[in-house]
Amino acid sequence: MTLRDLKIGESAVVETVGGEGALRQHFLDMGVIPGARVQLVKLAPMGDPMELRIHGYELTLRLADASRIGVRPLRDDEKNDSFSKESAVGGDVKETEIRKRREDAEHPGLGEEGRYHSKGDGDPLPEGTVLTYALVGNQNCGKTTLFNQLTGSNQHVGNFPGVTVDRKDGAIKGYPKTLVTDLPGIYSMSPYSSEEVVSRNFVLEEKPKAVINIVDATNIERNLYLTVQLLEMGIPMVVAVNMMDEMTGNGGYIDINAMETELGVPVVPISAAKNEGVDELIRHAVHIARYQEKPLRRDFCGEEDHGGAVHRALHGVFHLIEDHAKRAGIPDRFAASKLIEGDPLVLKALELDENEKETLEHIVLQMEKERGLDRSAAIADMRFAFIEKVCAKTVKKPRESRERIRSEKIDRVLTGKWTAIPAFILIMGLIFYLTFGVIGAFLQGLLEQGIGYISNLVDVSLTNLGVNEAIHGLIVDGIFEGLGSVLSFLPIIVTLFFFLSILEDSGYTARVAFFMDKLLRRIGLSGRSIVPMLIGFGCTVPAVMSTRTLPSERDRKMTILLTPFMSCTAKLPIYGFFVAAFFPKWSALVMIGIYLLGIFSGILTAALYRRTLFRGEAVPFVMELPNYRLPGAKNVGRLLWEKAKDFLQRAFSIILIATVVVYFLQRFDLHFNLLSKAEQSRSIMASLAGLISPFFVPAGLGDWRLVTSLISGFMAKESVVATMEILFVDGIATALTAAQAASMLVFSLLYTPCVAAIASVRRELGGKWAVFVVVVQCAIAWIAACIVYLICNLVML
Amino acid sequence: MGTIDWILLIVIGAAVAGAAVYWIRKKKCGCDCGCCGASQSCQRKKENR
Repeated sequence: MTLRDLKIGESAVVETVGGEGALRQHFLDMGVIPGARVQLVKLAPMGDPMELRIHGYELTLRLADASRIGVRPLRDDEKNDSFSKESAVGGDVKETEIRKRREDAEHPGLGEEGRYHSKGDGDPLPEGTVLTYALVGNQNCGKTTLFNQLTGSNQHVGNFPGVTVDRKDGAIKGYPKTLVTDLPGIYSMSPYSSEEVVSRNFVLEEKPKAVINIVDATNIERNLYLTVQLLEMGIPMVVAVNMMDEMTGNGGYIDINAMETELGVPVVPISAAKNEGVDELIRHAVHIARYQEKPLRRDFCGEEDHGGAVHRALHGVFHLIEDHAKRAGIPDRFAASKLIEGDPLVLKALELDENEKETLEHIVLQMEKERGLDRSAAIADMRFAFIEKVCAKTVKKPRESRERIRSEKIDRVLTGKWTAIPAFILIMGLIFYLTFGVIGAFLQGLLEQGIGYISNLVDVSLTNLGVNEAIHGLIVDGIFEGLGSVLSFLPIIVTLFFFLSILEDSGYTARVAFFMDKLLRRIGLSGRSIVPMLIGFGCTVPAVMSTRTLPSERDRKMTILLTPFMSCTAKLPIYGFFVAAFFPKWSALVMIGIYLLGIFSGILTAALYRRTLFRGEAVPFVMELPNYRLPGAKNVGRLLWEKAKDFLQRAFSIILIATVVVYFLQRFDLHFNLLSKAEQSRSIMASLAGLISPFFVPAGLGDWRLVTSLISGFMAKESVVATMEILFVDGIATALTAAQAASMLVFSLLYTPCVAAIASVRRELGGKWAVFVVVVQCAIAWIAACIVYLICNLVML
Repeated sequence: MGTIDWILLIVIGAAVAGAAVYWIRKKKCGCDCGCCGASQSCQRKKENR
C-alpha cells in the first residue's frame, strides 16, 4: 500500500520512502520518515497533487511521488489516539513542573554574560571585528520579517514559501559593527534546491561569526530539524522561537529554559511581526558572536537508540574523516552525518582516499543492517527522534489553532473540488476588472490628464519663449509624449501589484499553485508558474520579476520565456484599432481569438522547449501550504513603494534615453535635417525600416509605415497605434487589406515584448537570454503572421 | 540658437548623460537592489571583488 492509495481523511503510518537522490532526501527532511503518521487531507480539484498532514503541518505532494512512499494502515491501538493529538507535537508538561524548572534554572544562562566565559579570560573576538550573522530558517517562518525588525530594512515579505530568493544584508539597528544576512528559507542543509545550496554555502564558506536560527513555534517539530543540523556545525547560534503570540494565543507554550538546556544554545521567544522579544534576541546574538559561545550539544545520536547502530556509525565516521574535515574547513560532525546520508558535495570536498571510502561504505552498510533503515532514513529518524524527545519535555501543544480552523473553512471553497477553479476565475477576473477597468484605469486617466496638462503648459511656455523648433519638439513630442505614455502605466502596475500582494500575503497564491499544478505539468512546468503567467496578461515586466519565487532555474527560465505569449494590456490599443477598422462585426470574437492564439502559441512553444532546451520534468511539487493570514498594510505599502520606485528608476533612466534616441531617428533625415511630421517618410527611422521591410513582404507587412510602427512598438506597445496614426495620413482602412490587418494583429500579439520587458528578462536571466527572447518571439511572430496572411488570402480569394 | 535653447540643450544633455551613467553603473555593479553602492549589500560585493 502506498500513500497514493489513501482515501481522503484516512490516516496511515509511513513504512518506506522510495525514490532516489535529492528528492528522496527532501522527503525525509520534510519529515516523511518511516514511522511518521500521515493523513490525506484532500486532493486538488483535478485529482493531483494531494494535501497531506504530517507532523502537524500541511504538505503538498504529487501522486507520482506519493506512490513511492509505502504506508501501512493504523493498528487498532493507534486508531484510538486522535490524529490531531498525534500530529501536533509536544508532551503534556505540567505547570508546576515548569515553575520548578524556572526556579532551578541557572543564571546567567546561555548567551548571557558571565557563565560560559568569565570576564577577562574569555575568548572574545578582537574589538572592532564586524559580527556577521546568517539568518537561517524554514520557508515562511518569518525570517524576512525578523530581518526587517533587526535592521530597520524594508524587504518584501509574503505568505508564500520562497519569497526570499537571494540573500540580503543589513546591520542590526544600534550595532553598526554587525552584518545580518537574510538567507532564502530552507528545510534542511541538504542541497535539494538552489536556495538550499545558497544558504548552505553561505554558512560553510563565508563562515559567519554566528547563526540566528528562526523557528516557527506553531510548527516547531519540523523547524527544529534544521536547527539540529545547524547545531552539528558547531557555529555559535541563538534560536529565535517566532510566532510565540500565536502559540500562546491557542493555549500552547514552550518551556524556554528547558529547551535551552536540551539544545545547548540560547533560545529566545519572539514575535517578529509584533517586534516582541527582538531586543533580547539581539543582546544574545551579539553576546554569543562576540564571545564565540559554541553550542554545548552537537551529538543527537543516543547510545541506547535501536541498539546504538546510528550512534556508533556516526562516531566511527567522525573519527575516520576528522583530519579531512579540518583540512576542508567543514565542521566534523556535520561532515560525518552528511557523508552517511551520501551527500555528494561533502564527499567531494573531503577528498577521501579509496581505503577511507571503502571503510565508510562498510560502516554505513553495517549501520543499515543493524538499524533496519537505509542510510538517509536512519539519519533523518535519529534527528526526528531527538526532536520528539525535546518537544515531549518542553512543548505544551496548542489546541487546533484559530488560524488553522479559519484556513480549513476558507479552503472548503477556495480549494474545493467543484469550487476551486470557478473561484479562481472569479477572483482573477475581479482583479483584472478592478485593475484595468476601474481603479487602475481611473488612476491612469488622472495621471494622463496631469501629464497632458504639464505637457501643454510646457508646450505653451516653450512657444512663448521662442525656443528652437528641434528642441521644442524633443521636449514636447519626444520626452513628454514618450516618457508620459510609459509613466501613465504606473498606476496600472501599482494597482495590479496591490492585488497580487494581497493574494500572496493572504496565502491564496500557494493554493493556486496547488490546484493548477496538474494542468501546468502537461507543458513541463510546475504549479508555481501560474502566478507569473497570470501577471503576464497585465504586464510582462512584473510577470518576469515575479518568477523569482520559482524554486528551480529550469522552471524559472521556461516561465520567463513563456510570459511574452500572455498578451499584455499595452497591446489592447493595437487590437482595438485594427478590429474597429477591419472587423467591426466580429470584434468580440476576434479579441477572444487573439488571446486564445497567444495562449495556444505559448503551449506549442512550451512543448517545443520541453523537447529541446529544457528537457526533463518540472521540479517535484513538494510545498507547504501556509495558513491564511490577513495581509499587513505596512508590508503591502512597502511592496507597492518598491515597485513604484523600481518602475520610476527605469522610466527616468533607460526609457528616457530610448525616447530621446527614437525621437531623433523619427524627426531627422540622413543629413540631420529636421523633418515635419508629414515628412517622416524621409526620416532615419523610415530609411532603416525601408531596409528591413522586404523581410515582412511574405507576411503582408512590407509597407515601411507598418514596419516603423512595429519598431516604435519595441519601445512601448502603446506607440504602435500612435505612430500609425501619424504615418497613415488618409486612415488605415483604405491603406491595408483585411488579410494585412489580420497578419498585423498576429504579429503584434507575438513579436518581441517592449524594451522594459526585455530589460527585465536581461536582469533576471542575462543578456543572452534577453536577445534570445527578442529573436525567438520575432521569428514566431513572423511565421504565424505569414501563415495567417496566406490563409486569409486563400479564404478571401 | 538663443541662450534659452542652449540652456535647455545642456539640461537635456545632462539628464540623458546622468541617466546613461546611472544605468551603466547599475549594470556594472551587478547588484539586484539597484542602489549602486548605497547599500551594504553593494558595498560588500565590491569588497569581495
